[in-house]
Amino acid sequence: MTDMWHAGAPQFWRRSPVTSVLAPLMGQARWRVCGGVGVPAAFSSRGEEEASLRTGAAFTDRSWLSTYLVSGAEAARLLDRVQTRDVSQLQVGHSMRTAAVDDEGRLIDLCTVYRLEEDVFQLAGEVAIGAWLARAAAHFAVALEETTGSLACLQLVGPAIGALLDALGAAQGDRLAAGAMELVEDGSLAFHLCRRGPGTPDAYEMWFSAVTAEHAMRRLLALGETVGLRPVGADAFEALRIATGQPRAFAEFEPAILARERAHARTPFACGAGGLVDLDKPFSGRRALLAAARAPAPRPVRLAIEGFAAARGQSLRAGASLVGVLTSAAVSPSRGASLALGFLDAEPAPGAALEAVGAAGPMRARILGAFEPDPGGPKPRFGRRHGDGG
Amino acid sequence: MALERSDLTPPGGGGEPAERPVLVIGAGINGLASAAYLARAGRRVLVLEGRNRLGGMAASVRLDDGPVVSECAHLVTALHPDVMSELGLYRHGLRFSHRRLPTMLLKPGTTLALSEDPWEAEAAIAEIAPGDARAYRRFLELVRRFHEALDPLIANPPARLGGDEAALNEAAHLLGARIGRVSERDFAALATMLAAPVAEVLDGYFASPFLKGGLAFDGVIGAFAAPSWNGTFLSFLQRRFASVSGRWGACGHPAGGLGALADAFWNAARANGAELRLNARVSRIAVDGDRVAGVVLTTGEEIAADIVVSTLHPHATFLELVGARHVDVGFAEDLAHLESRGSVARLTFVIEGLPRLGTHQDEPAPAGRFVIAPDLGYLERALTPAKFGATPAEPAVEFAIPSVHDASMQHEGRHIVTALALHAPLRAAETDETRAAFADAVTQTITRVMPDFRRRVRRAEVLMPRDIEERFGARGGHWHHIDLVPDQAWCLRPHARAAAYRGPLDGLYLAGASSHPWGGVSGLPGRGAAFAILKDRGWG
Repeated sequence: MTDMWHAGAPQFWRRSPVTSVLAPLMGQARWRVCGGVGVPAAFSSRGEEEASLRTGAAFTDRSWLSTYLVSGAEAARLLDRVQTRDVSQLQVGHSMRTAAVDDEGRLIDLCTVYRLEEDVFQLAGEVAIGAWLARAAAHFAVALEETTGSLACLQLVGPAIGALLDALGAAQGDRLAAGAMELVEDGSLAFHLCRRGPGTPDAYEMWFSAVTAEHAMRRLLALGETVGLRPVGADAFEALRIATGQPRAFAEFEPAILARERAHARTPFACGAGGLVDLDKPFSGRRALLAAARAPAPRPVRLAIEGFAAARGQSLRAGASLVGVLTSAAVSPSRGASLALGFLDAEPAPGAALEAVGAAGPMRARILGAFEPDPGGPKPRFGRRHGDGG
Repeated sequence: MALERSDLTPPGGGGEPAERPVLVIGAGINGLASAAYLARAGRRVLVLEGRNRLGGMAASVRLDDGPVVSECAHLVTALHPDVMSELGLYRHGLRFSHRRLPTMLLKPGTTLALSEDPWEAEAAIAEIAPGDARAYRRFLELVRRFHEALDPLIANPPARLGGDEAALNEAAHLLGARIGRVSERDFAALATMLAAPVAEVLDGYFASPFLKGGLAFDGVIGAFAAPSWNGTFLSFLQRRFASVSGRWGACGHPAGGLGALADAFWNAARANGAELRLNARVSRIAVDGDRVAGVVLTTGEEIAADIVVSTLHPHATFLELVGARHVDVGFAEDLAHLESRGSVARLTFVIEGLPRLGTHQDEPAPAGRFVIAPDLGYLERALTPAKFGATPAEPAVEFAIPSVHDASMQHEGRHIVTALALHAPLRAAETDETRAAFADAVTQTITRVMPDFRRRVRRAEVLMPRDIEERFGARGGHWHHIDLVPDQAWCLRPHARAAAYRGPLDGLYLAGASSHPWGGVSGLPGRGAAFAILKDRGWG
């Protein structure tokens, strides 16, 4: 069996803790770089991988996410300050999707916060925000540890995952509520299981130590044979993200701490993530977002586009007018079309056909609906008024 | 326990709901100025002072059983005439023991008296540097014109930068509107010189190293800077815009020391109903959402207020009293980066009789502000050891003998010498030995120009920057809280997002030395903050 890492990945990419197990499973050496880590683009055909995600059991390697452990007496206070949702209300053993913004309310990243213990949190996201977080933590009694690379993360998706979780010894498994976590210890295998959703049903995360990652990976593959567990690459997972309408950094927005131009960064309201902003609680950037919430914002839309040539950056046209732009696009073999996320700066005129404009010419586009990030738990209901908090 | 707005009670307890007082943190000159202006406008004001006396760094203190002397600041150079007249400080008891102290530049064998009268000064310069006499008058004339052009900018609130282009345009427009009438040529000179090193400007006018050194002293006093550093000409202007006598360029000494000036400010505030609590140290500013809700004292007492005026350093105000969790991450970071590195030591000497100037052995030292900075290189060399945490062997010194003109400071034939010495480093800790060593260096420096000074010294007290920080709460022992340089001036003072006396929290105002225009016992930041409150609340 050929190790496709050596066959195709630039050696300056970092390797995921499970690369040594996954690389031999790849049919061809096609890689993507995510967060500086080389991850398989695909293991088999897109159609097969999409079918596994929709009807079977599949997993993808997400170990490239930037992760931070925040602990200490003021850990909740710090995270509550730098996140747009009320982290202090998060119960131990639960997680939530939330957002970090800069002083001007521009998105830094969409993050997931996990409350591991009363004063211990894990923060995960696609952007390396360690330096920013350290600066924000300067005045708080917290310990901050970057755990990127020392943890492995697999995302498991598919209706057959429940049976796999039973086999892994999960006490709750598919009975976990969205956002809830469970520590699974089965002999030499220990990992945190976290259910995602509710927007993406049957999606789970497994977090385990990089030290035991290879062992865990092999055990997972062995147990997964009974339910037909298959690895899927980053491309198929990207298509799933677009299909379920999840905005992400470097696509729907440029992280404010990295954006080369101010205009490239967006507020949560301007990239469909307004649902993750609780303006009734204090947080860094809130004042700017109070003003931004009243400002007109482009409409986030999910689209189906004919053919397989849709791509990020293409314009959306209605008649002779440019009305928007595509920020993400992926092929969906099962639909026989492309799926895309984008923004409409202006509403198409009634009766005007919407088109995405590619290099080969216009492609008919159809709006499927709006998109917004999965809250990672029950839909937030904002509106409480917070006091000083001591 | 969480502090809610409703938990806080106004002073006086129950009964009819009274108007919540405006709380002023700090009874220094700026805090008292704010209180006086607000009280004059009919507002209820309560001043909270952590120490047991008024004045902050402009207080007076009794030396054991001896006389009352200025505790830190020792001369009045920057008190603005608008503040004096608007608050009626003379009516409220202000008396100067001397209002027009000449600046006397000293070096061994030479004394140069720069009188407030330019003709006298020109004549004095002509004796030691004939080529510089006319240049001095031209230079003074230029500085006077700069003063006229900039005074409206100094005495009025600065613009606020809102982070967008419109705010920037508005600021530029205001800048243009506020600068007084100025010729095209002067405007070009002003634009060039404002950010220039004071040494560079002086080099353009004078040849005498002695004159340049003495003048450049005013560009570096109070700042961790040498005359060759950019921006020091702005500090020079601040110092030379003195107008205590109503005439440009004067510096004075209140009878009874600087504390007497603080008393006059307080009398102006008290006359309009302001209240004062000494020994009332604030431990926390309570916040409700994006608004202040009051303060909590170190005793645990809570005082409710909708408006709090802080004269403390913005770092202390927002990151220590308010708390970083109530301000945006970037804002907290910006404040943390504000550098406050004091570099001036304050010394008080008790001396037996009056010393003689080396150049005038037959008569006791006259009233004056004496400056020992014989040339530009001397000032440069004085800074070098401080960069590495050491004190210079030959510090630059400004000193006065207030007991010459203020009889209340004479005690059993003994006189008082107050001195500022550059550059004393901000160190982690000072000991009696390090203080004594620096006092000895200053004594030696003064003795070079007053040969009998050392033998007359009976007692010396030293406040190094660390001592100033601990005693007065001035971060880093810095008199102006932060350096006065072009990138920390006007709408950028102390920082773009904390300028114009306002920060990100509604109801919290900044009135300390780091607010526009500067510190230095001017009263202007306190006045500006009061005007900002009156404008924001529609009370004006």
